[in-house]
Amino acid sequence: MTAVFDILLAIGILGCAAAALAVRERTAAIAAFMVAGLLVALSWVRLGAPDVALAEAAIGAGLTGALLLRSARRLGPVRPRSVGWPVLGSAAILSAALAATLAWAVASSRGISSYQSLVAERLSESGVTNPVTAVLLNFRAWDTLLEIAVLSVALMLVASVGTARIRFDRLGEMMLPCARIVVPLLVLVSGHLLWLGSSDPGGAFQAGAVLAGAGLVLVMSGHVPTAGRAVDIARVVGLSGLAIFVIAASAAQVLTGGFLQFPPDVAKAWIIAIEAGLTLSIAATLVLLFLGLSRHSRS
Amino acid sequence: MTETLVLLSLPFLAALAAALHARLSAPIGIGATALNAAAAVLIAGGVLREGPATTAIGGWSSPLGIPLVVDGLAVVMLLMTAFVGLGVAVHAMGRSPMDAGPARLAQTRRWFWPLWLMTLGAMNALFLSGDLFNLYVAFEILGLTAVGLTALSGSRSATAAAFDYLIAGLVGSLMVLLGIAIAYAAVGQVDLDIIPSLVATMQGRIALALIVAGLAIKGALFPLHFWMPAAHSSAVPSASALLSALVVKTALYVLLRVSLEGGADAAPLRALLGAAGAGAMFWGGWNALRAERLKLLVAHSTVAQIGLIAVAIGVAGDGMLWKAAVLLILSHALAKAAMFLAAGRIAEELGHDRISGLNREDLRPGAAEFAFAIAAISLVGLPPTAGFIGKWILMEGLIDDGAWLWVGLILIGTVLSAAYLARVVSRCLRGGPHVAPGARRPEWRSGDAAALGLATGALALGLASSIPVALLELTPA
Repeated sequence: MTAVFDILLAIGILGCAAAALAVRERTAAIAAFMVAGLLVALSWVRLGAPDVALAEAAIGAGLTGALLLRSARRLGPVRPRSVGWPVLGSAAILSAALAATLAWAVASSRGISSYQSLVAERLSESGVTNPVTAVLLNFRAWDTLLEIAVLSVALMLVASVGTARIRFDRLGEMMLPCARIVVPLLVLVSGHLLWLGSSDPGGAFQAGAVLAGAGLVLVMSGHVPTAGRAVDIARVVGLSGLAIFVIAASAAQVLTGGFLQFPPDVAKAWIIAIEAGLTLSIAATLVLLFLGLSRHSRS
Repeated sequence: MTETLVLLSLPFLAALAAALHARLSAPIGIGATALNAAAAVLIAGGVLREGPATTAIGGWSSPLGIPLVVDGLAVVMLLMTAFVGLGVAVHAMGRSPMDAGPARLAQTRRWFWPLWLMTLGAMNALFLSGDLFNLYVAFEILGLTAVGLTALSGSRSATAAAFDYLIAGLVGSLMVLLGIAIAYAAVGQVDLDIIPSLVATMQGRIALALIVAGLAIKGALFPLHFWMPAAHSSAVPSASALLSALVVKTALYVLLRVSLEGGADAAPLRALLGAAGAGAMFWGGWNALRAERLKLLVAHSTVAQIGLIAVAIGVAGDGMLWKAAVLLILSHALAKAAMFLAAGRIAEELGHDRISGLNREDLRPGAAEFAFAIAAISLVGLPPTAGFIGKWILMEGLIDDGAWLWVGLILIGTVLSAAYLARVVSRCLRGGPHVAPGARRPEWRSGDAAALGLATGALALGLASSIPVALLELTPA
């Protein structure tokens, strides 16, 4: 039964990907992309990686889709471009050869990870019991810090390029009642995911993405101003994630003598505190990426 | 360890402060760049005194955690980044209009500092990292900041070039990531120590091939350099200088590390680098000879010079010739930063950057032209510049090995670079009867000081090349 499900899932992912590439209409292509993202999230569940599945569903399918839809509206219709058969043919042959090589390389590898046993062995020293959180926020926290830096750079980039701010059309009568139910629920779910991250699948990225969803609902319902002080505060919160992480890493060096080496007895408190800051920062960053940051419209 | 702390955290914190305080961004930027340079000098002193050291970030030893490797090669690259960055920062602090219209100028000046400081932090992280996946994350930061720096001028051509750069960079990143994933599948971990076991198996070689291809895109190595001339020539001068002098070097640095760690088994990789490098020397040189605009000539010259560095890594074998490659990287960083800043100043005085219009009768050559000429001398490799020392070590080694083909190729590449740089130098330094008696002199700007300083640095490094060579001795191969 599960084999049938897996095969259908694989066909579905490939079909959605093909549709996203082939469809001429931008909104339809993005819809196909978002469905593909959800199916990929399902496949992560099947592969036994619920943390990745949550992140993929929230960020890969949800927020990326929202960002794409936002941009598609400004782009106008797709202009058809004809590509010659020789180009298509040689691209197909090259891709097939590369895919075959990669498939062979992966299939013939021994697939023994050094990390699983090491993580299991040292998990008790990390302060948390979810191995994914232990790796992301303690064993390889430096990677995560740099990933947060990537988010900060994305925010700076959008501000420096001067993406025009989005204007919302008036939404229907049901928006406000819906927002009244959805927003508190999303905030609760986000807090739950954040807390859960120390022992079960969850954590700052997933919690932040869910919180960003709540932020988008608020913005679209017209209850939060999309200019002035609110945006300035969101900008500070968005950039604060990297600041919190770097300051925590440096403070750890002052206390224990090692960069990012949290005091072992209270490592859990450090991790939760950093993750709480990151959740807010990730949410603010994602909302701002959607809104656009420019003060001046582009000439 | 305090120096490492400064190198890893100060640029990021300063970048955030500069992003939030528009009015203070220039003082924050220049202050942080200067402190970073001081920390780089201190860490170099530490390595000279106590030798290379590896520490485990967070106290988790490799392979569970990420190792921080402070050795001679890493320190030399940190010093290069710190001082070239300081020079460019002095230029950016000045009043130069940075090629932008008045409406865009505020935006350009506002975001230069945060983007540069994030670049600096990412480069420090990259040079100190001993882990493939961590290198990939550092490249992710660099890929985005470099696109931001390219697009800073806000012009249509710069935005288009930045978009192409973004796409090329993403393809490169994906290939590196795919390579790392396959390396993980093949040997079960991702620190740099696995490279010897990667070159020993077929799966590992496929993984390395993907990583090298991704790095070749990021490092603008021929024939994957297609995105680079447009990006480097349409950015504002200080951004071009940072991108051409520093950012592309990160990929070359990782290629060099892979070649060094791979040892004798990495010979096919080095053969590939040598062939691509030879192609780059000719293709870049030929395009630089034909370029009509000054900045485009300088950008194509970067293609050729990266080719020379790739050849140096390629022919080094597992002997000591790789030190020549590092000297060439250093010399190109200083000279090319000086050259882009000088080209920016020349274009600003003339109002255009067409090479055919460089010799004007009513304008005397100024400090920028002089800086350009010194930088050209270093790029061609005339004594006593660092470029000369690098080429000398390389040629001496090749002649000892009897590798006459490579000697010939490098000589032809050198002649090409002398030819295309002479197109500029012969025009803009021309005095005598070509200049009218009442010709004005260009005004002195802090940008001139930066260009002159960097060019003089390339000259002086030739005389003081024993310092980097002594540091490079302290690299466990």
